[in-house]
Amino acid sequence: MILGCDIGTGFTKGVVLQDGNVAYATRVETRARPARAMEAVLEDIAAVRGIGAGDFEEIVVTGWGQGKAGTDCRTEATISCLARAAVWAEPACRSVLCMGTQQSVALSLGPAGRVLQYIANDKCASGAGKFLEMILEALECPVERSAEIARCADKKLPISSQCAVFAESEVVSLIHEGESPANIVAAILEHLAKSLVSLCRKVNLRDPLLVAGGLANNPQIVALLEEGLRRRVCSFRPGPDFIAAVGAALSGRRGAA
Amino acid sequence: METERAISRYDYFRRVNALCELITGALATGAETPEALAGHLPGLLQALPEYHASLIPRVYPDLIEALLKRKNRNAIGTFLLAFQQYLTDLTDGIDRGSPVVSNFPFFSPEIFLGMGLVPCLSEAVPLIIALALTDGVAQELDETEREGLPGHVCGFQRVPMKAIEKGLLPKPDLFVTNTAPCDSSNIMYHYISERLRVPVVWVDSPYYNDARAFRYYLEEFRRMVEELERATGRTLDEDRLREHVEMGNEQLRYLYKLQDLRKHAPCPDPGMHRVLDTLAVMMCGVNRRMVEYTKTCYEEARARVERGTTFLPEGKREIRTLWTYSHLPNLLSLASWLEDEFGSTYLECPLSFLPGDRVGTVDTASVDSMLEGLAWRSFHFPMHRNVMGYSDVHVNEVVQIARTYHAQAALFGGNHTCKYAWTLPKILRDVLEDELGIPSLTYEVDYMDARFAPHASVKAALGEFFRTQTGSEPPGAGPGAGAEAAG
Repeated sequence: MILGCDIGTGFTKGVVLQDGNVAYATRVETRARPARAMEAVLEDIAAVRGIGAGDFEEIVVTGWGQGKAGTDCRTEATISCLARAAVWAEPACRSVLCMGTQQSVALSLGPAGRVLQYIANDKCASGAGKFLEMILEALECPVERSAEIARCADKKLPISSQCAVFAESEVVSLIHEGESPANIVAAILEHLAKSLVSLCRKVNLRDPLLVAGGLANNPQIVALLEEGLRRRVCSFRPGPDFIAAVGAALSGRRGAA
Repeated sequence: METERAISRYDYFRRVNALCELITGALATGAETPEALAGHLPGLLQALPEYHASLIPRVYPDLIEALLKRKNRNAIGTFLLAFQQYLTDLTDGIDRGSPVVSNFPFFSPEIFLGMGLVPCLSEAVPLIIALALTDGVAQELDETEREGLPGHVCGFQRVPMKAIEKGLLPKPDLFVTNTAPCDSSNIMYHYISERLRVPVVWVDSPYYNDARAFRYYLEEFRRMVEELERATGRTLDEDRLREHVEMGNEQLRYLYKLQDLRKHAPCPDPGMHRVLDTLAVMMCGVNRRMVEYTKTCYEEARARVERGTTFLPEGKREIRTLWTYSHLPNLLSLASWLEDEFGSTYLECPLSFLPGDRVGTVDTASVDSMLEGLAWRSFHFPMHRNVMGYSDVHVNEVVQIARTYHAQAALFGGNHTCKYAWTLPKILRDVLEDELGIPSLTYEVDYMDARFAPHASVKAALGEFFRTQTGSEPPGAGPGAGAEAAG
């Protein structure tokens, strides 16, 4: 039994892998305290499944906070974890787009999940989840309802800034101009999808393309991605957020068993 | 009053000479770690001038660590002795009053030495300072920017210009350069010539890389010799030319054999030497010690192949890495670090690679045959052959190397000031991936200025890339074809 953890900037995800299957998955908010988040994941697993840290053959940690996990564990490169989990979920997978809180990454894979190319939104957060979260907060729109709200839009609004900060200013202007929240949310989602499409185009995308990360939970984003990339995508199972944690667990001593 | 000797009058020479003495002295102690070396330092410094001690705190600590390693030390030591000999001969020539020619790297120095001229690699000397000292040549770079030269103009021209102006390097009697590799460097040489009032002998590089182009280039090469004779009053001495050409031939024979050895797995030649190889090729035939450098690399590599040993840490799986553009000179220890951390061996890079099957050696039968052979080599010189015609020469060569050396990963570390280079990375990445399934990483640096891409960020980017290449064995299947279709 292996525990894979992905300490992201937004959430820390934990996946218990047993006999090559996900036996349990959990997530807690990181709140800029990676070690505490890691403890919370372990506490949750102990409370719900009765499994203690000492019961795991290995604990493998990846993600932003991997160096600050504060637990006896091994660390693993995030890109490798994404690739490993992608081919585990979809053996034919040749491309991955993982849309995280602070960073989105596009990967092109060779046969058997070998990483051939990868690129991240290195310049700005406008292609990542935090950007959407900030804007929706300003609009007092719950993140989980954003796709539904966007579908009520009756007008296309342009947002031209590449930078998250400038884009936020544009949104403030649109609010002051009296535009409806639905139109603004739709514009924001489209802007975000455009950034992600542009990121994907920098690597040699091949089918099938697997999408993952928190933003992959948003059906409107996924639909816009399919439209922008002109291809069908599939979502990571058991849940888009857990891809890196699953990859970490799979890299464990008997993860692939 | 006695005139100060050139070796101490020109501070760049003084600095490089002191660095050579410090490092060869450190290697002579036998210490293999910085901690062990620390115990020897007082004794070492006692035997050296006070100036040397002032440089020690400025030397990159990771460079010291890398060059003390057993795998690197012999080659580094012999190279530095050769470079020091070059400096001694160069400054002795200046002291004797011989004409100084600042030669572009595409011309290795045999021709100039054959004419009794002093060949000064004004672009290479600052590089030694940049690769060894944390403050490098930052002052001269910043001064040129303050004067209005943009930061994306090559430091290899900006720094020597400023250094000559400040008296840190000697003012040459002539510059000799090609009309390659890029418009930016051509314009800089025009500018430097006017600013310093030093004439330039231009050798026109043809657009195409073919037989017709070479005939043209050979004529240009011969015209260069005539112009040099006219300008300096020196003539080509056949015996002297032959002496240096023969040394160069011997050096290249070792290099070609060494390049062949690098095809073995694991690669038997440590990557830290590639920066030195570039300099050694630029200085081909300059002195006997430069031959010794290449011979040392070859013999060490051959011994590893014969014994079946490797310099990689025990248990480290090799990642055979092709550097598809160049190395990173200002981070000399990088290749050594990649070997130790990730098992990434450095197969070749176009900046240090000379295609032996095409270039061969120079026929020493006559002056004519030697000129033709040297022109042929110059025509095929790194960064020269690659810029003629379309990108085919560079791309095909890289693919051929990747194939014959069984490369597994590729790095394109582009110098942001190399204008011609930035047409290449996407083409290279696609062709390596599509034809050979080799992943590439592209990153941007400044060869002269470590501040442009701090060493820590370069290491982080390369480390991340190599971590994706280690331990990425495919796992067993998960939900498989049942992956949820979205949208």
